[in-house]
Amino acid sequence: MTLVAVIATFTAMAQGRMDMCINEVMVQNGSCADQNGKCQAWVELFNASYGTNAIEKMFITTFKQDYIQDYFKKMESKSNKKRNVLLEELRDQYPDKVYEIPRGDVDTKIKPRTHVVFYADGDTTAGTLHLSFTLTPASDNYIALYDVNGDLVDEVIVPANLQAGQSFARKSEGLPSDMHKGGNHSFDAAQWEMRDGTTIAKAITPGKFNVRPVNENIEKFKNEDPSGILLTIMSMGVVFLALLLLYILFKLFGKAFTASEKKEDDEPATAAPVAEPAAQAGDSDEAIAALCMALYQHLNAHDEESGVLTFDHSHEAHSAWGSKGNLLLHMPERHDNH
Amino acid sequence: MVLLNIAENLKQFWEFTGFYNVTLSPESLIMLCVGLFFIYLAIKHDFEPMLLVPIGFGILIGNIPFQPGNEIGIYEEGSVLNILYQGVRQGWYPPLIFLGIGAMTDFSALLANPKLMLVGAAAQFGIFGAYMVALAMGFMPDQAGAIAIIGGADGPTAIFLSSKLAPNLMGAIAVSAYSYMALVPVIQPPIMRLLTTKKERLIRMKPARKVSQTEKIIFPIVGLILTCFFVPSGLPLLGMLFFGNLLRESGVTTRLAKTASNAMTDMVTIILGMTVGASTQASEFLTADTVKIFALGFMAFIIATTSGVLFVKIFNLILPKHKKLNPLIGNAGVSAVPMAARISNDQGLKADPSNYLLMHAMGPNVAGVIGSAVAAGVLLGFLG
Repeated sequence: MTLVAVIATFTAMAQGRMDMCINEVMVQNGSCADQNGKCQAWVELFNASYGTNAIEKMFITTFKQDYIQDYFKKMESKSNKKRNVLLEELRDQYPDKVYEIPRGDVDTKIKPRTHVVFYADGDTTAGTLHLSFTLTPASDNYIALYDVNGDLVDEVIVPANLQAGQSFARKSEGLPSDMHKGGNHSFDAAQWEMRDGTTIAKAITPGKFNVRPVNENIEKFKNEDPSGILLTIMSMGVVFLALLLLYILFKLFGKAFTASEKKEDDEPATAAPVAEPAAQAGDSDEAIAALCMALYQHLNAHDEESGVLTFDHSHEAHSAWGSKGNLLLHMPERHDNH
Repeated sequence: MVLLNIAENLKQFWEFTGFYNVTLSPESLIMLCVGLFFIYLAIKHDFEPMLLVPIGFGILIGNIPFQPGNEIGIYEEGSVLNILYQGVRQGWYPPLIFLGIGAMTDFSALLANPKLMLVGAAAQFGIFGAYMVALAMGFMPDQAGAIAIIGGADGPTAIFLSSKLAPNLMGAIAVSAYSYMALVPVIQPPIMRLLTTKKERLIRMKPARKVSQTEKIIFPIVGLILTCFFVPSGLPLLGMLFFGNLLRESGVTTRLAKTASNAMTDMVTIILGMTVGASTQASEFLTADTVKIFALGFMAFIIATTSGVLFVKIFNLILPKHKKLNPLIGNAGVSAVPMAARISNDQGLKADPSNYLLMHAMGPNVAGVIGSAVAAGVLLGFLG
């Protein structure tokens, strides 16, 4: 049972990490400096879920998906090592291509709907948020994110024609289901665009939302239903429908229970021979009351109950409470030893 | 030199006191008067004392002028009041109150006559009527939704929804909701008399049938599944309401039901009332919006009462003669339990001293609790 609970917990955690995605990439950075004042290439991840995700032990790599899959197949045929172990071995072989996010850093706890920026400077000594690889300008850059179990979470191919000072970003951050449509974690170029920072719509936004979040519902109702009639009709409809269904269900339940109770009442008593004379005598209230009175007298029932608390005169003249002699301290006894 | 130091320290202390700080924010005196008025209403006139005493005293606590920066005020991060206030801001307290309400509510009256659920649904028009008026007064849809929920006559629901849709208006909305709930005996009777004829007020309703324990146990389970499949956003309120009711009716968790309906509800009510009161600081509360919110809340109560009574009258047109409902129970469709049902009973007794409507009115009254929670869920779903 405990094992099931543990497995369920880990599965849930894995699901949460699956909501992480690569959100924006810059290959030739001319303006956005890291904490050391250096302008490096960067990769932004986004936690699309509504819960905090710990991304420690996840992998970011420039190895293409085909290569990793072939590697997994080859190695799995030789041994029964798990995929994350295989990725760790790959990291040891190619540290400049695979980066495993270290454990224990508070920066790896990504809050709901927030971003984290990794600098692709190849300098892991600079901190957790510095990748072990760099990106190559003027050529396609493939970046993939793998789960702690070694499953692909997201991938992106940054096109070679991305200019210096431009970023390659998702058009918008949506709900978790929007980020990996239909559970598909592979790259979909239609969801991405190049940004040069010339307009708000084309802003480069490391650590921030690509599109300023707006409550679309409110805007929609503000523009399309300024009087509120539509919302009123819909909402009253839902309230009525919910309670109408409850009404119908419990009307049916009520009928069923009333019918079954009536049936039980109508059934003749099979194991109550004592009740027979009463039934034969007639079932009027007066008759039942008379029978009860007769039984009461017959059984010599009386009103004097056992366990009644009362005062009882003691046969002793003095109790411990009333006797002065009992309340007085005894005189100390003198012992003459000599 | 020593004298100078003493004078300086005393001056510093003077600047620390409320007497000095009140000169910087004299409007807090108005709020202190509001708090005292609430306490007066509660103690002298017995208007919802369980709510108005904590809220009134909370208003006093929240409006004593002080020097900011010492982690004292309710809006200062890390202060005791601020920590307690998180339960309001994050919406923790209302579901806990709903757990208690569920544990202390007997749905028998509703189950005995399930058509009364529709009366509870009709009264929710108070919410959406107020929503339309609020939009016309210039509020944004989310703010209008948060204000309109006052029409549900349910304090925890109002706090829950306003904390999600319009946190800046929550203080005014909560105080308005509780104030009008306390004033239900004043607001509703004239509307009920106005909308009903003498003949209608004399209608005697069929005695309710006996409800089996199995039905009572099934109700919270089916109720939860059905309502929350429609409105998952109402899950925190409806989930806790039905859970509390199952604790009560299952017969095997009496101890839990007792704790939920007594000790826990009392504790949460104390903290909720006090912190809501304390959150109504003059700078936030004494605004034109607050006046509008109070006006809208009043209107919402009138619309809710009217729609409940009118619905029963219309419903009677299709009901057979022996199953007709007394329209005086229509007002109970708002969820001010059991105050609204008591008013139905009082008005019924005034028309006919032997016509007791209390148990009949409890049906729409508890349906109103479910209806207002569903309505809050719908608003949260559309505007959240």
